[in-house]
Amino acid sequence: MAKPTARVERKAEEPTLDLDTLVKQFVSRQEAFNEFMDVIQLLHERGILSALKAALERYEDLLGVLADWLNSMGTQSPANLLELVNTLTKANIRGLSSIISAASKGAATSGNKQPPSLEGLLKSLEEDDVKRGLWVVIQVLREIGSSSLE
Amino acid sequence: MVVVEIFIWFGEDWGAVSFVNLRVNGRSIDVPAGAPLLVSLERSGVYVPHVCYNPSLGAIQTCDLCFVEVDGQLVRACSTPVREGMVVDTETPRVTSVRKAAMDRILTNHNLYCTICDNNNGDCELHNTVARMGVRNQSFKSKPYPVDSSNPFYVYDPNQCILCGRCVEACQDYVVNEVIRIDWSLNPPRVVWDNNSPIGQSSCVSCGTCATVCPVDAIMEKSMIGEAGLFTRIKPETRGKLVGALKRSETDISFYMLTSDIEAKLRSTQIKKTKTVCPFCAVGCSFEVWTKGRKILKVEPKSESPANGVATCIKGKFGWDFVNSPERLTKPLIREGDHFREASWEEAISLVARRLTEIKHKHGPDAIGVIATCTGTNEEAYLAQKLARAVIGTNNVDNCARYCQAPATTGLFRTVGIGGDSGTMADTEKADLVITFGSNTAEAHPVWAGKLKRAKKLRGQKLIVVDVKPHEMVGWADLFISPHPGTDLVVVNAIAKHIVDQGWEDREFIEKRTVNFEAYRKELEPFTLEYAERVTGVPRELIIRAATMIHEARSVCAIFAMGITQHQNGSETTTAISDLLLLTGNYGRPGTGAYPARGHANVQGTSDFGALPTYLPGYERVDNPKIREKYEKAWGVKLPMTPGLTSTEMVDAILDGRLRAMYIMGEDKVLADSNQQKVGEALSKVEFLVVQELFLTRTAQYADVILPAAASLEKDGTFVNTERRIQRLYKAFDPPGEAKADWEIIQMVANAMGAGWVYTHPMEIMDEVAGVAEYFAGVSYERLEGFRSLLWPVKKDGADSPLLYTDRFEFPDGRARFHVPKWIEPLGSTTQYDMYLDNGRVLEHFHWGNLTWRSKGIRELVPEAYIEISPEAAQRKGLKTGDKVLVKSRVGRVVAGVMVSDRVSSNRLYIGLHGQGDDAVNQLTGDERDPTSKTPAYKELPVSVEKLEGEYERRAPLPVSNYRHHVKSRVSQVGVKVEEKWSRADYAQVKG
Ligand code: SF4
Ligand code: SF4
Ligand code: SF4
Ligand code: FES
Repeated sequence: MAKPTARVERKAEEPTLDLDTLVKQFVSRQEAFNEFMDVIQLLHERGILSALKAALERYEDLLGVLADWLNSMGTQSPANLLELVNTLTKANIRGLSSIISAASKGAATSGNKQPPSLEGLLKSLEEDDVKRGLWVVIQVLREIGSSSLE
Repeated sequence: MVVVEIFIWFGEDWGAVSFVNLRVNGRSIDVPAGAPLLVSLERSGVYVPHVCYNPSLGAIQTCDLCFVEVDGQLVRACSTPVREGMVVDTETPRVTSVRKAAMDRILTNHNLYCTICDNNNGDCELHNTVARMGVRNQSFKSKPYPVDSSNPFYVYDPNQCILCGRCVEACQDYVVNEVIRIDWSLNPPRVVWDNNSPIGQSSCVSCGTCATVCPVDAIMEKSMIGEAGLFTRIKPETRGKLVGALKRSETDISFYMLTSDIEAKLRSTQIKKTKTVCPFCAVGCSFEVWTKGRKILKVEPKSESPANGVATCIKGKFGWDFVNSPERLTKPLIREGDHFREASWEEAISLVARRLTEIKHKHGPDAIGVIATCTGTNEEAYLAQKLARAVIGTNNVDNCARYCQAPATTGLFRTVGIGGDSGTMADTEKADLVITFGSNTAEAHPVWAGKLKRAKKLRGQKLIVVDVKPHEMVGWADLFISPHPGTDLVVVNAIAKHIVDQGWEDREFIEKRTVNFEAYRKELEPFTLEYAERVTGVPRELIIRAATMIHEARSVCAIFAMGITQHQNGSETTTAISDLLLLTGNYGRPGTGAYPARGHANVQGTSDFGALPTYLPGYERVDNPKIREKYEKAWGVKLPMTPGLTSTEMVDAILDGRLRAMYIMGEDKVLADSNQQKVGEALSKVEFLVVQELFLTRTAQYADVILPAAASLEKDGTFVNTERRIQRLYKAFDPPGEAKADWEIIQMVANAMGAGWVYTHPMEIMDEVAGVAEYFAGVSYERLEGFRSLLWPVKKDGADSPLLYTDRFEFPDGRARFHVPKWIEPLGSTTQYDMYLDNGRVLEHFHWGNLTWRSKGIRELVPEAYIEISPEAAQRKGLKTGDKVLVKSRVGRVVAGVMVSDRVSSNRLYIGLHGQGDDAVNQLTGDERDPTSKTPAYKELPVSVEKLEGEYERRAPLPVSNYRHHVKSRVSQVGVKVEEKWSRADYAQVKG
């Protein structure tokens, strides 16, 4: 006699980031990974990463400020508009990937830089912030990786 | 030399087309006669701007952009039919200046902020027209009306409304809900709901058709807002400031239009549009679903959607929250005593295979029953029955048609030979007269109802409604016949007898195309007007009137649904209806025939593809040795020869020990079958139960193994709608977690039982079906690409059959059979059970609600199941809206809130099927069945009602936002009344 039940015992949630898989992906896509690290480095050096981070965090405020600013300018040239559109574009996550891909091309032609070692990287993977961030990064990495196979 | 172009006119049924010749901008072109000039020009590559014309809605004549010169006169191209010898000029200075004035006027009503508009997805008709016309500036005037976001699913922003009237045309004349109009007397004019009520307190049924057709962002799906654009997730105030600033700093809008075009291109990288078919009712609405990742942004039906055009109902348009519900099953579950634990697919499948094999060896293959899902695809139904027959070795396979439409199939098999609609919904639109029997069409098949209402409103089609319930369609009917529950057969036979008595039968048709008329005529004799009046309570005048209307109509369609089939005499009544159509020659011509209105999205297809105990795919009988031989050859196994158990009989078979295991796919049998207590008892008793599902349903709670299945959006396949129309669905995204498409799961089970199947895509399954089942010989995915569809039977060369019986009926001699129906007395009310409980769908919920309860908006509009009671009966019983009642039948009890309503009459009550707890109707239904089809007599339900006393919150079961409270406020009109616009002082009608 099976009594009806809605009770489900679930297995403990698996960690959101499976490091083994991650490492495997890194190893199998080392070329892509090296290239990606170059890109990150370039973005960091030029301050773009911090600007983006801020813009993403304060997206709404930023737009408010821009709107006020534009209002106070009165009738001006189309340059205002261009500026706004540019800022909006940068403030968007899609913008991030297009910047990354542009920078990626730049990196590819910018001569040989030494990528960080895999070992060093694996150590830093233990940090929570890095784990979290990697989820975003890994999506980009996948894209770059698969396009490098095409 | 004159170049003559002959176009290929895709996607429309032009019949035998005759062509006329036009001279357009000096060029000669041939176009089909009678087509609007605008369409003819567009299809011959001549651009004429327009924003109010829509192929489904026709000419509305509000935008004035489509002006052209015809023979020197300015005319609107949308409302001008082509005629031979027309001389058309589309680009004269006069035309350009008129169009410019028209566009200026439109743009005073609409602020172009495209980059931050969720409608700017490359298909905004206004944006594209502005860009094409090279408009460089606008002077926008805002309107003093706030945005109305009081409907759970869409918003109206009067400030962005260009007053094109498409929404009005759609609501008034397309889906014919008659909720909105443009009030041209207001300053400035705007769209109003009922008598200018907030949308959330109006009679709007949330079908969303207005949002679909709105060319701009004025009526927009809430699910799009802040989601479609890259930069649109902005607070309205910020947006207001931004737009204000931009417009002040920029008078030339061309650069702005350019950047928004670029941005629209970027958006397309993140929005995916996938063609699919609605998973709810069997109208078979098809549409594109827009998704961003797993987020469903909107459902967009298209003019080329064959069954529905641009129409949908609330469920198909907005009822999709279930797909991303956190309650979705994402891993196989295995019972362990009083709970389930998660398991791997390997473990779950091998357990299923092992237990089914053990039971098969110990008790024989007929100790196992399989239920295929009616919301699964045809390919999945085919595999389900193949699993039952070829792998397990039993014909014990069935589907939910058993609960609803199996009697209709029986009636049609007996008389005309094919268990499906005789024609398409278009035939029911064309008919002179439509009779609906036991069909609450406006709630159960709303898009179909829209077509009937349209035919009535715009063309004066005649309508007879035969029903126990005075539902919405009664308001549209020329004649309403309300027999005592379960006595429809007597009404039908009395009409038939009156026709024979008057000599109105179609002699020629009867002689040439039927057999057995004399026996039928003889059996009609007892069905006199007096007898009918006594048994059914229908005054004889009404029966005479119905007979006369049928006699006078050149073409008659009969639509019938659960109000007919879910009775002990369900098969008999459908037989009688079909006999009546034969008697009057109403088969085989456009606008004639029998139309069982199927319930589930793919209940027709699941039966068509063989998930029935008596039929292999394509209704080929299992007890026919030749047929079996064909399948044995194709499948390489010996097949069982005796017909199997029906789904309802399986319950009995568990209880008497014949059935030991069940494999139920996508069906909540506990809620769906009659006599819930008995079904529960059976499912507790069955040795092994596998349930394949999206959710942990009431049925799944009894399972030994639960297999997580994919929703329709998560897989490829085909459905068959009520018209016999086969349509493709495409996968929009992957199933959640480890859930899989039913076809994959069935294949895993089959292979674990040694089958060795190797299907890698549903297309291969369809190819296999086409190779064996005659009805589907010409069906292929290629022929079903996109919005294309095929109506079975489909010949090898791809020729399909929109209208059946044009030259023969499906019997060896090609003649239809009059079949004498037997009258079975229905269960009547008694002193103890003095009320009669009718039950069925409500518009917003789908059946027992496993999908629709998970829609937040639908829950908000219909938060519970409730009992409708007539004012007289309520007074007699001392009941008020908001009271709770205890309803008892001979079998069980239900507790539900009361709503006093004039949608029921006398001692009849009504409850929706969507209750899942104390209000679940099948706690009351019993074991009576149609003896032929074994469909439960759900609708023969005498009950007692008593008020629940004591402390509880007394509140109306339906919130004020539900449309039912407001239907009396509707304002009916034809079209948008553009003449009223033209007569406004501020509208100088454009003259050249
Ligand atoms: S009923 Fe409501 S949602 Fe449907 S078209 Fe009319 S106003 Fe729009
Ligand atoms: S709300 Fe209606 S009238 Fe206004 S723009 Fe949209 S479709 Fe046209
Ligand atoms: S439930 Fe039926 S009428 Fe509604 S959208 Fe789906 S198929 Fe169309
Ligand atoms: S398309 Fe002809 S007036 Fe709008």
